[in-house]
Amino acid sequence: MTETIKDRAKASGPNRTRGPRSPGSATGKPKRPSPNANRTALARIKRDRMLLLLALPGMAVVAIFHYFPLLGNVIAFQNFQPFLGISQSEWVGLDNFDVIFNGDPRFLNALANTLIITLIQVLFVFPLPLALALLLNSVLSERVKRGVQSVLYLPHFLSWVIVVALFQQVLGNAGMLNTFFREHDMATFSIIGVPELFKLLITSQVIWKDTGWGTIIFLAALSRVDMNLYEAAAMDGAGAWRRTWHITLPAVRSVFILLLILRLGDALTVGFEQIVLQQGAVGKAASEVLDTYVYNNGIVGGNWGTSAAVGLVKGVVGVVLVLGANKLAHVFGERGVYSR
Amino acid sequence: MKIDRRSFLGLTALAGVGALSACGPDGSAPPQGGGTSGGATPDASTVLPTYQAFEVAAPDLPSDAEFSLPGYYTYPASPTAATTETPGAGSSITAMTYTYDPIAPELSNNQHWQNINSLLGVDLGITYSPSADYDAKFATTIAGGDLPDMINIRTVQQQMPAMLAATFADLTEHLSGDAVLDYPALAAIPEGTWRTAIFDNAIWGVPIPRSPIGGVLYTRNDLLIERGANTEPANYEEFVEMATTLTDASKSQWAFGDPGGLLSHVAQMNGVGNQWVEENGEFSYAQASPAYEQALADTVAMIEAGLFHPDSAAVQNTERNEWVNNGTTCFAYGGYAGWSKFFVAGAGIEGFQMTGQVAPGRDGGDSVRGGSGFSAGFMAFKPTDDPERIAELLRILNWLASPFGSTEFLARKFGVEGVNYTLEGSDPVLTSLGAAETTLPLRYLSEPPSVLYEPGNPDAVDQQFEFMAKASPLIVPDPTTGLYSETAVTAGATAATALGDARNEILAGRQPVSSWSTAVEDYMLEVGNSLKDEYEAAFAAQA
Amino acid sequence: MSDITVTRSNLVFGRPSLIARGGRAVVLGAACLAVILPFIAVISTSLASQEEISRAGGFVFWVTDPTFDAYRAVLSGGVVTRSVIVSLGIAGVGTALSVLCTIGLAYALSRTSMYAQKPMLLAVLFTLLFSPGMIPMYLVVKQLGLIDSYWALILPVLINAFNVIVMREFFLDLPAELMESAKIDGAGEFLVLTRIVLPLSKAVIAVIALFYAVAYWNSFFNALLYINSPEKWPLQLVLRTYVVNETPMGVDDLAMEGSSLPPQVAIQMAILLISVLPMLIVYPFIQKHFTKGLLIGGVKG
Repeated sequence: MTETIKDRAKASGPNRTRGPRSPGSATGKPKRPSPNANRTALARIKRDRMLLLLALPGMAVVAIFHYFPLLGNVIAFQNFQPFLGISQSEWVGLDNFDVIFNGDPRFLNALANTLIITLIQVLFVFPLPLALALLLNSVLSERVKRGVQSVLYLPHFLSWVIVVALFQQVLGNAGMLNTFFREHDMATFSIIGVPELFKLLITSQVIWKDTGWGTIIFLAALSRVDMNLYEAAAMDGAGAWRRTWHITLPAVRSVFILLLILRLGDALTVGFEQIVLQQGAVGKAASEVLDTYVYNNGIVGGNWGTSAAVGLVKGVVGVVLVLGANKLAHVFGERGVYSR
Repeated sequence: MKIDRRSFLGLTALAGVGALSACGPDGSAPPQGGGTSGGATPDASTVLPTYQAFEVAAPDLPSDAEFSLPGYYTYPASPTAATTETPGAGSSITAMTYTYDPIAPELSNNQHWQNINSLLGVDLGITYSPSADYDAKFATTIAGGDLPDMINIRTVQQQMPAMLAATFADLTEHLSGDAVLDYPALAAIPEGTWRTAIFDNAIWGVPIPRSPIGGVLYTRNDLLIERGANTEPANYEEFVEMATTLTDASKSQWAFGDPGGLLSHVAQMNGVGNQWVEENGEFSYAQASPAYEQALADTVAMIEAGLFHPDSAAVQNTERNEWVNNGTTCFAYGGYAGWSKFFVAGAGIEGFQMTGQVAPGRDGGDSVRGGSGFSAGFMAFKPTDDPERIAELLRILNWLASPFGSTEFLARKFGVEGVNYTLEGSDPVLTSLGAAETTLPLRYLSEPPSVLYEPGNPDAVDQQFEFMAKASPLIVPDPTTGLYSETAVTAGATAATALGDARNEILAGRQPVSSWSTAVEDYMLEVGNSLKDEYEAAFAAQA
Repeated sequence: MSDITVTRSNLVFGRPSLIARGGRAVVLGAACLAVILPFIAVISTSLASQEEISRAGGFVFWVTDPTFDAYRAVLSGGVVTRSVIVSLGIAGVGTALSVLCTIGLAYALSRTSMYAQKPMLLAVLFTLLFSPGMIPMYLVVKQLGLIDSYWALILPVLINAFNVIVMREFFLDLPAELMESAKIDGAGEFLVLTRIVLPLSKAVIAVIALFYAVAYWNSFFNALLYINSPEKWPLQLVLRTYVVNETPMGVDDLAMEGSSLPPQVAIQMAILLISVLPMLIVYPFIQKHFTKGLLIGGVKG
């Protein structure tokens, strides 16, 4: 059986040169007006019963353990007390949303920091795993490639407490490097505890911790590239760069864009724990982000309602960003998260 | 992605409010309380249990001052029983609490636990969670409504009096006044500790006593001597001189490593102990005083003079403690209960001495210490119609609170002789099995008041006792202990965070000391004035 | 084998110039060093005595006098060993179920003509953006009678929308005509999935399985809330009790009076390594599925 599949897949190879621009799904994009339009729902359900059955366990989990408890987010409009429960806690209208909409300059500062950090990370951190994956993919020896990748994915498993401590001990004002410089009468430097460099510092920590881990999806995407394509392209006289451009990149582009869109949905979330651990040294002006602000200005008092309210607002913003980014992807002819 | 959200929610839950057993003058946690602002109800002192000391072994160093702790060089050679009968009646009991220790082996694999169960005469099941996660566990347990028989309430919750009345058993008739004398070990719990379990003039649980001695300026006395520094500075000037002697950046040696901690110490020099000061029923916020601003200015001056490790603000306390252990810095600031850990850490260091330095007055004379953190939470009971059930639970807690020197204490803390510990002289020394099995968090269910005892290290007991003897007369108990304020548990933490930020900015040199007055004004407007009113009303209702 | 890979790599990038190869080696070498050196420090510290940790002031970059005290302390009493078994069980069963459900859901959602495909897809997508609160989740788990059951650690997190969406993306990229032809041959959806889609999707299945396994392995918070009996705790929650570090040494009590546990820092590192080890062991077996080219066997060596 495997043989047949391989043969078929091989036979189908060239088709995939068109990559993600090829028809969006197994059955192709439904044309408008859909041929299904006049079928009754019941008939369609009957026709798709096997697919629906396959989806059922997953959808049931989503419904029971996600959407049902999500109803509990009504506590965003309550002064919720665990001992009273939802039914008896006091309704307070939009009070819990004050923490976001009160126009406090400290909030605006936190929002600005969050967006700047997100922007930096989307521009400089997000593409790195892809770059690393491409680099690894170009390595000659399979063993070296796997070895390097296994090493680089390790830091993902360190907690932020440890990552921060490691950075501090190496780069701190009295850290390993500075101590070495001082002992050898060389100029010392200051990175940790300098507000201006804080965003740089946390960005480099994220890069160190998660770049290797992030390559995994891209390596999987790259592994789908049919070697025959390279062979054919090489015979056509395409150089290395052209082959990368026309064969390698198309294979990862749709995944890359998909991940980018999902990352945008999280635009308002930047490393809470990582930042909290380092806030003391640089002060809030440089380091306060949305989550830390909200934590300190509502949640820390044991206010469940505030926590739910902020979650709702962030969710709505996330929906807008994801849907917007998806639309934009469609404009550029990409598939995005879901089809039109 | 999923994990991140979870852990954020987890932190959300940590919210809680202030630890019952918080905090020095720089602490952000609101104080604990009992009593209400309500008018004509009987005051808390009428429900307070009668105090009766309970000592089964005479201490080598008897404590002569209030708040000081007695010291023991050795465990009594022939421990006596503190109780006369098996407290339990063969039932099953469930309890929930937190722990700072590693998880213990489960009952079937834990001889210490089995031994405790047979001594207690019950089947004691304990659900517990790491301290850092306990507030989340507590909140979901309350929301779920499936209460264990006993549960540790560690933090003051929002709407605390209503929450207690709606959820837990009122223990007043079992414990108030002379009723507590049925449980001699519980009668030895000091008044300040009991106040943390009294709300609306009713007793809602059995508190776990802790000393209110507060923060200790841990001092590497051997380094001070070695580097020729004054070990007993008598005023601020001498204190700075001492620190200057200890600092030599070219050798990577500094005096201090913890700006916030040192500020607390310098505040004591300036006469600021607790956050609130009560005088004739009138409350004032100590951090709004010129003395506190002076303390800030003093600390900033020492930072600017280079007496602090250059990474002081950037690290966690774990690293700060290691700095002290390796002589990079000479002082750490922390709770008295951490003392033993320094001895463990310093065991391999030649000449290692960890003493506690008591702050002098700024211009000589005495400093002022705050006194708070009287308890590590209290055990509240699931409501029941059966008074005998409540009595049984109280007998269990009474047994667990048996004092130092008793057979019960030995069994609770050190386990089974020959299995969990061996005797070195008369001192129990845990075996490695014992060290693992005795992490069962019985000490977060019920415990007697602390004593000073460092097996095999009488010098350490002397040093600690000396510190306590010097420090305890300076203690002014936190006047807000036992006063419940709704503002403190709703808006208090947020406002305290803002104030703490302002303090950090000043200590980091990004804002001038003069910015403090604005920050503290904001604090007063935000919550301070309401706190003042609520405390004054609660105080008046109690007096 | 080696000549196959040489062929392949040359095909991908052409015969690289010496400079390009040198540059690549430098970049990858530096990146590896930036990870390996700190990990050596982590390992050294886990083996260091308190004396050495104190001398170094935290991390010990090279241990001179190794001791296994920290490991002994963590592994004594058998609690950790037992929790490793619990964790392996949960990660194993959980990952298997999660991958099955995710495949089913992702495949169905990849068929754009399916009834209610788009609303279902959006419903899955939005779970990434809105999360239910801790207390409502607890109440649902409690209502279902799952408190103190291992299922409470699996069912609520059985489906991760991110993983569904990624897997669906890979399914969408499969050559359409393969499935068309299978259908013409009379194969139903289930056959298409099992005979054609899955064999072609080993890479993404390996990746998603890894994501789920790591998530199950690392999670402790659900166990904290849903499991009342400490003897049922998974490894990460057990290990968490050893790391007192997060609590600043404040006025609260941190004393482990009478006990002489090895240095906290060493324990912390030992714990880290104990918890990462299974991931290290399993990783190569998963990794080979997503680093190997799909048709590499088909390329003539």
